Amino acid sequence: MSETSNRWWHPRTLVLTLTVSFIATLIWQSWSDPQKYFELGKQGLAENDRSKIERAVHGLKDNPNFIAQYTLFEASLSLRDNKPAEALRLALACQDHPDVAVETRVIAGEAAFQLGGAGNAKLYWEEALSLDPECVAAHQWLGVLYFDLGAMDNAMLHLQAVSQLSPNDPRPDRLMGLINRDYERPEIAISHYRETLRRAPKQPDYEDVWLELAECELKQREYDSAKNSLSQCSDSPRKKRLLAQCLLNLGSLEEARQLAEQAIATEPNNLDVLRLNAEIALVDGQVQRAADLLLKGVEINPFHHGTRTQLAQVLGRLGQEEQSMIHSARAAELQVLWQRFSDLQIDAINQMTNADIRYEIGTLASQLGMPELARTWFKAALAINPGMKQASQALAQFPESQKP
Amino acid sequence: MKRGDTILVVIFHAVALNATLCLTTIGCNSKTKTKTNEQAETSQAGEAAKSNSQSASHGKPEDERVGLTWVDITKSLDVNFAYRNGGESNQYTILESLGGGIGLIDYDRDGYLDIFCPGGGGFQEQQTTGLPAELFRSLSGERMVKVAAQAGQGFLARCYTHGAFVADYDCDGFSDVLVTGYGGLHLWRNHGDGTFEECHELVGLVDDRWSSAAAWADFNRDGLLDLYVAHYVDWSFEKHPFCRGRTQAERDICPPREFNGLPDNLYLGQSDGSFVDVSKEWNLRGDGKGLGVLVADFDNNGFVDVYVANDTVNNFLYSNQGTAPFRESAMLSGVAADKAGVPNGSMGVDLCDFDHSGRADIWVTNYEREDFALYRNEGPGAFLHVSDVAGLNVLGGLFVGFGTVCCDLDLDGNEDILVNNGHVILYPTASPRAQTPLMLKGDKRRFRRAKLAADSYLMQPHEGRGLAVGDLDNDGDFDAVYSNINASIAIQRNDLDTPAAWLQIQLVGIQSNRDAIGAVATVQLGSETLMRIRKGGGSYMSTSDSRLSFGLGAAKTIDRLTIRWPSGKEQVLEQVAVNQVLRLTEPAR
Repeated sequence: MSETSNRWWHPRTLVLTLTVSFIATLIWQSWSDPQKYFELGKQGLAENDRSKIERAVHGLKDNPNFIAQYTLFEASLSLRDNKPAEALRLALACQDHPDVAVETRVIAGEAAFQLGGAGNAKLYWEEALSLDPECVAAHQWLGVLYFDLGAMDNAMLHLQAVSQLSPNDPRPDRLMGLINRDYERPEIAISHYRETLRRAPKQPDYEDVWLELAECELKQREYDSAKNSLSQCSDSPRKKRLLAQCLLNLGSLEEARQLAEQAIATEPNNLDVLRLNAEIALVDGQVQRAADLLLKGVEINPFHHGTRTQLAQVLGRLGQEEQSMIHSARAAELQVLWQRFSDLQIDAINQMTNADIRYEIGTLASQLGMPELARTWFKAALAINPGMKQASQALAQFPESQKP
Repeated sequence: MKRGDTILVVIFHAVALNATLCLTTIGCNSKTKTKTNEQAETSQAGEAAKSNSQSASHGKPEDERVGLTWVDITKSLDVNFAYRNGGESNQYTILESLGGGIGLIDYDRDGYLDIFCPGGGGFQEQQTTGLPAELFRSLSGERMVKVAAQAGQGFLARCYTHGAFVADYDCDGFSDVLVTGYGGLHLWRNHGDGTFEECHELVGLVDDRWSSAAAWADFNRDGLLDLYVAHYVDWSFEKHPFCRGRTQAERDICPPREFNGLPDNLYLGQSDGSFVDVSKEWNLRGDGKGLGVLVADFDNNGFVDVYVANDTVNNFLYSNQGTAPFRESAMLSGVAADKAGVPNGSMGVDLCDFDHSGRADIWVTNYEREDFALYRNEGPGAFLHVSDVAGLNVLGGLFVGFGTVCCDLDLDGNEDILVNNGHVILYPTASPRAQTPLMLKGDKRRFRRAKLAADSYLMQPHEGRGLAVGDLDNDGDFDAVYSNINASIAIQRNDLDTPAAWLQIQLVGIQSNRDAIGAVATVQLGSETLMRIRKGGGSYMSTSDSRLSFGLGAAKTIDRLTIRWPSGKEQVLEQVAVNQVLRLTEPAR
């Protein structure tokens, strides 16, 4: 070892040491800067990243100038730990600090929502929007809240805002597509599905999006577009069924027949497939085959009045008058229920604070064999009127395992 | 007619779970400034309507070329008359959405069809008013003159009117006109001297409800015409809710779901020219929202049946055994609703035998996002919805269809279809208010949209309602008359590119009702059989030519012509010459 090399103060070593120290100091200063921790925490909120929020809490702890910010993140963690009451208390404690006024209201709304206070949650989120009209989270939560209440037009307004404020996010449009599809507004659903696919052509489950789009195009009678959408999907029973429907509506009976036969081979218990094959059988004059298929359809879904009506018609043609009348009478009962169910959904959209309507929709959903849907509507009624006994009782009738 | 009301909306509310999962992140960072939400929604709806307008206005590449041209002769005939709906009063009533029809009538028996046009109505504060009808007299098919003042003392209307239903109810050889409307019927009895007299009260047609469609026919086969009158909904200014348009604040016309349906009426004609209301005895339902009525013997039992096109509720099919009561069987027969069993917003209706089966099929025009329905007659009491395999679903669901007729327009032996379209609300989002009419060319198996010249009336958008067809110029083919909302009626002359053989039959009943409504004519051309039915009602608020029209293509003679009269008598003629109007009187035996 040379003399020079043994000297710890060798100039090169000194420079290196100083540089390392300088960088370490910078890093330390950076991490010890409470503003940075605050930004990190906010990023964690935006990205739903718990570790970032926890680091922010750690970094801001005991900093007397960042008590409100620290409390905000504590509230957020409480919420994530399923302690909504604690989260609400913490959020309200720091809500007046201008740096966190918007975020605390968003979290307070979430906490209130979890506690069942939909009205309060709505107020908090609306306050957040009054402070920052472009608060994506507040729009998101209000969209969810209105959706849960069955107030679709209001939900759509907020989801539309989310879509505009996050122009690269495919999710809001996917959701708006779903909502509009289920609310029988295919023309609007189509535009949202196309937008979500434009934003992220290979998003997770993108084939499902194409299939949903094709379903809407079918409903909208855009058969060529539906065919094109289906061409984006790999082969599946659902694709075959939809394509068969497309072809049938385009008048290509033979091709539709082949696909329908393939579909029933793979999905023998799918009601849509059974009905499709029954339709084709009737066109072909095979009345008995249609009856067999429809009978199976009624067994699979006894609440589908369309299937039962067709079965009654077909049985009548086969001379089975008594059975025909039985199914016809039941179909008529079901049709009345479905009609009422449909009308009430529109009333629910227009009367967003009417718990009675929601309770009645829940009751009808239950009668029409849709317990999950019934439960959702009973919950919506209770969200509006927590003291509504009928809704509580109806919800309590579900087995424990079915409760949310 | 359905607007925002969606039938059988199935909400998978569990999507809320997706919503929650999809939207759980918090972030107020994005600062991308864009349009307001409401603007965006409106803009989106506008885009949809714009795009749909385009698709609803133009034919598709695969559309069928037809061998005819529609020539607009409205101006050259000197005709200008508009049905008015009072929309300018901004009352937003559902009454404004119905519009009016066209009655083709040879009132002076000069051999040329004249045109009767109901006037509609308006509003004075919150009272409805009626506007006078007009009658255009044809001068040899070359010009038309208004004769309401002389013929009907102005055809004043004491209420808001809709439909014109022509028949010789009193068997005096001159056609009369029934006018339906909100708050009453008008029956204009033709004296035969060029004048009419309003006589509804005198003959017992007292009806203060909202009548829409009607059909003349002889239900009990006593040789006298009876009358079926459909009613729409229980609207009044006392039952006039606010219905929102594109936004909560914007008002639009309410959908029919906001109102209860009204019961229809059946009146039996008496030998003294009066009518007796037998609605209860014949067991008419009370829950319809009727806009179209069609009468023919659908089950081939010798008695005419009634089909009622209802708006948003099940259509009715009353099977007739000749005596009370009717048996309503639409659901079991498969003609109450669409393929899924969902009732449609049905407006216009007609019958045809599109597949030359010798059975009467039923054709119904419906609301947007519903298929126009072709119910193929499968034999007694059974129909099958075959719009898909008949190629009709490719039209898309953008049209709101009203007046419609099935008729062999190009005289090739196959019945074609005309449809008059137009929206009912002020601010539609899926399709435009003004829509193009449709011509669908039949080929015995399916229909294709006719490809027409771009400047054709049928390629331009209109707020269409009523539609009637008839041979206005007596050249052998049927011409068309369209009625619109707040715009002049339009008369379209049918000019065939190449001549084809034809036969028209004017039937005069003796034992049967004089108009021979319910008669069936069958033409045998080699192995081909063509059938036409003298129906009651049909289309939308309108009455077409009473002559039965056969297109015969290149045929030189007809092998056999068979008439089955409403009385049950059968008349057979052999080796009938083509290209003539055959006037046949019911034989004594």
